[in-house]
Amino acid sequence: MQQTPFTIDADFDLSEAAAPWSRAHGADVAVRRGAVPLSLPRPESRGVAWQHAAGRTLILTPCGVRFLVEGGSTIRYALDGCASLADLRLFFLGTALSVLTAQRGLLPLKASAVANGEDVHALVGMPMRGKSASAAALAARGYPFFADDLLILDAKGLDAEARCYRCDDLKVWPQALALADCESLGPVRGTSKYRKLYAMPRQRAARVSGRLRTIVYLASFKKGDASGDRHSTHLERLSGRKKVETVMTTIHSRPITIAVVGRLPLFQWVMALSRRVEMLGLTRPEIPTVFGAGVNRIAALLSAAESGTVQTRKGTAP
Amino acid sequence: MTRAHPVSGQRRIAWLASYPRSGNTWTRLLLANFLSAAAEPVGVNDIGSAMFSALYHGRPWFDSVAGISSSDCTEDEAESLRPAVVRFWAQEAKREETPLFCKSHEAYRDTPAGEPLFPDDVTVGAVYLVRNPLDVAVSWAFYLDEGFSHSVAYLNARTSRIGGAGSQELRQRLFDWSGHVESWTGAPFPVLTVRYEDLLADTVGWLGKIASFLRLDGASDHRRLEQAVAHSAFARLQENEDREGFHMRGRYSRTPFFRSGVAGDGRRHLSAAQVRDVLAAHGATMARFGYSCRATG
Repeated sequence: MQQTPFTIDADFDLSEAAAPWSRAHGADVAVRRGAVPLSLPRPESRGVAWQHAAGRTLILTPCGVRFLVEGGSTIRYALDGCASLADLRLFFLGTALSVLTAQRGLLPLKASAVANGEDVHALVGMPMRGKSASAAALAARGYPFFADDLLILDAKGLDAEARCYRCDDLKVWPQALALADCESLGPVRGTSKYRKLYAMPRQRAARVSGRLRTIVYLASFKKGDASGDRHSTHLERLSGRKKVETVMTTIHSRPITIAVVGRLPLFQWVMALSRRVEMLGLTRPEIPTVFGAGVNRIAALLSAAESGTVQTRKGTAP
Repeated sequence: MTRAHPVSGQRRIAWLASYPRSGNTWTRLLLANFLSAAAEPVGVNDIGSAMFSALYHGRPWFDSVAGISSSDCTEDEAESLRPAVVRFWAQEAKREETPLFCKSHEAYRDTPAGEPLFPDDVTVGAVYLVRNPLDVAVSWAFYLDEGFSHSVAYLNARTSRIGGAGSQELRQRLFDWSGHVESWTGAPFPVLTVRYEDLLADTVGWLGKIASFLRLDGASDHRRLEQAVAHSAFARLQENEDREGFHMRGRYSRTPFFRSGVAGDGRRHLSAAQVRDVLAAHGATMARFGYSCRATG
């Protein structure tokens, strides 16, 4: 059985986590350094850092790495100015791979994830809600770390089950290292102005794919919860329109993905995903002193989700 | 009175700017209630949807408009991209006549790339709220759940900033309180400077001036202004926050976001030495805006 939905032949070293995707010959996707234009003629849609036209997507990162992603099978990149290999790797395994997966009919989610056997649980939420740190902390509580930043879903197979894949290493902010109980593996980018670190979680899932079982939406505020004690957690099961809207907000590189896939097909993918996967919203205080208690609540929640005994109620972090 | 530019083309951003804890959120609620003109008040958690506004420092807004993740960028890279992000937001907006409102606590200044962070070419104008720094220091301390000495030092430091790497907000450089005030009152586009204390004393009158400055329909409709002010009454906001919480409350704060709202809190809470520190650093700017610079009373 094929482990990954496609294979990659890149002319630079991908990360260790992406090794299962690599193939030296006969790969589905070729990644090569080459000429990348600064703009596309007659773009069908565009944003501040990207343009899309006729199956080609141009990505212009602020650090000087440019990608041209074409037809789901070719990525050309160029490095301007001070852009480093580390910068290339970060944006390749994030934005560029996300666009490529969308071009290939896969659904890119911005999520961290942990695994339990074949089951994968994704953590999603707005930026800086502690997705990566929570996934790392869960790895010290019996849920091996599975994915960070990009979780790739097989959208075509969603009628059967939500099959998902991982490809990148864990990245955390320095202040989260101790909280997440993981070890630094060095800086993510080639500049001291960027502080995020690659990190080694306590346990890593050996598998590169799994069945997406649960999506946990992490939030810091819930309208209507005015307790103000800064220690309460609140859990709710998301359903219907709220579930679909929430998943839509967790699409990786969302405006680009919408341009590549189209709003209606993307919505249909998300609808299909919503039918297959349980989605829970967890509101917790974002205070370092109660971070561990919040992660314990997520661990208990995942355990309950696996046994089908989730009870939505307000709780209190010790 | 100078008025903002009319909304036209991509020139459609109205900045709502202030040093933190100077009445910015209250002003947004006043404007949201004025623009909605509905019988029911706009909820404290619904400002954004009621008035089509953005937080200029918000990572979700930046990421959704830019298409790349701010957390993959250095602070300098993200900051240098922000003028392009707000330009794109202005270009893509479909509203024709009402400005797009953008809230900011940052000083008016250039990005690391040397471009104005608040680009003139998309700006209709700015409403700049200024508040007695003695009161700001007290409110800021309660918001942060820190001592008054901490907040006074914050107001007095040229390097003060909020947000940035590892935070839910992008980096915001504030300068010191005087530097913040001088930066905005010297901005190259039309700026209406509003003293918080004046807004408190004559809310209907000053809301009308703000609406007129921004060329909003109904700026002289007294009943509409009065309704917006009634819907935004401090006691109502406190009750609303008490009932359903408020997403902008300080992460560590043990007091409500809408805590006091009164003028004159500074001299009631700060020590004589703390008052002297603020006056020494900001006396000249305070005098310019009519704030008493006497060390006592």
